[in-house]
Amino acid sequence: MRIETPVRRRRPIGLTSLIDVIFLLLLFFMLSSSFTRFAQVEITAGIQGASAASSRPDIIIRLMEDGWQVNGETLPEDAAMTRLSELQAAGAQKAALTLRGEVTSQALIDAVEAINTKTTLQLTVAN
Amino acid sequence: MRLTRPKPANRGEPTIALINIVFLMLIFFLIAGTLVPPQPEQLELIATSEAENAPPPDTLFINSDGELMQASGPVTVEEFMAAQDEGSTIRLAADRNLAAARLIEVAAKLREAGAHRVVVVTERAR
Repeated sequence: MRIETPVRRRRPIGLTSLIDVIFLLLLFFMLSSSFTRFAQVEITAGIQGASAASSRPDIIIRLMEDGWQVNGETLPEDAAMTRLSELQAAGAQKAALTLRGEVTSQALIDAVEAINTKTTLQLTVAN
Repeated sequence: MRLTRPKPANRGEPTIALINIVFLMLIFFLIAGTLVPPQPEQLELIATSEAENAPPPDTLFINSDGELMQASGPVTVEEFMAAQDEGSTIRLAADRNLAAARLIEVAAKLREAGAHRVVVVTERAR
């Protein structure tokens, strides 16, 4: 005897479970991604006196709370940058940056970034 | 004469349109965002505008009190360098209010302990 199986009606794909998964993925990526962009600045730090014998810097920059001192001359930041460019044109290659007083990392990194982008001096940072 | 309007059949919500929008948002976040490893709370990174682009900070953090931290908790320079390869580049993320003297001290210690380069990771201001 032949039994005819009833023809099944095709159901449409379940969209609810699909959208559940997509919502989960969306939530995950919304919560874990960030739109902050990052950058990096290299600092070559040496302890004072450790490398002084092998390489003497041509320029000594002292970073203070309210200005810069380039080779002992107190200048505002803009003037200091032009002074550094002049010194570089005159043949200076190495510069050492030291701190005086309470300077924050933000000020230090700003200074290092400015020197690295506007001049091609080899910069060493010391305490 | 009064005509009764045939009632429209109840069709349910337009699921396809909803899925379309959610898909678009998903693709937007996938492409535009970057996944960031967990960072210690209350760490305000240094802001710069012209430095070269870099991936997010992932390894070593210094808070404004000068304490070194990893994602797993506080560390010292020696412990940290013991886990790193010799001659590697160390990416350091410092708080903007940290005393610069401490930052230089840590960078110098890292170099002494065998790091080839020390770079400070900053936030890029728009």
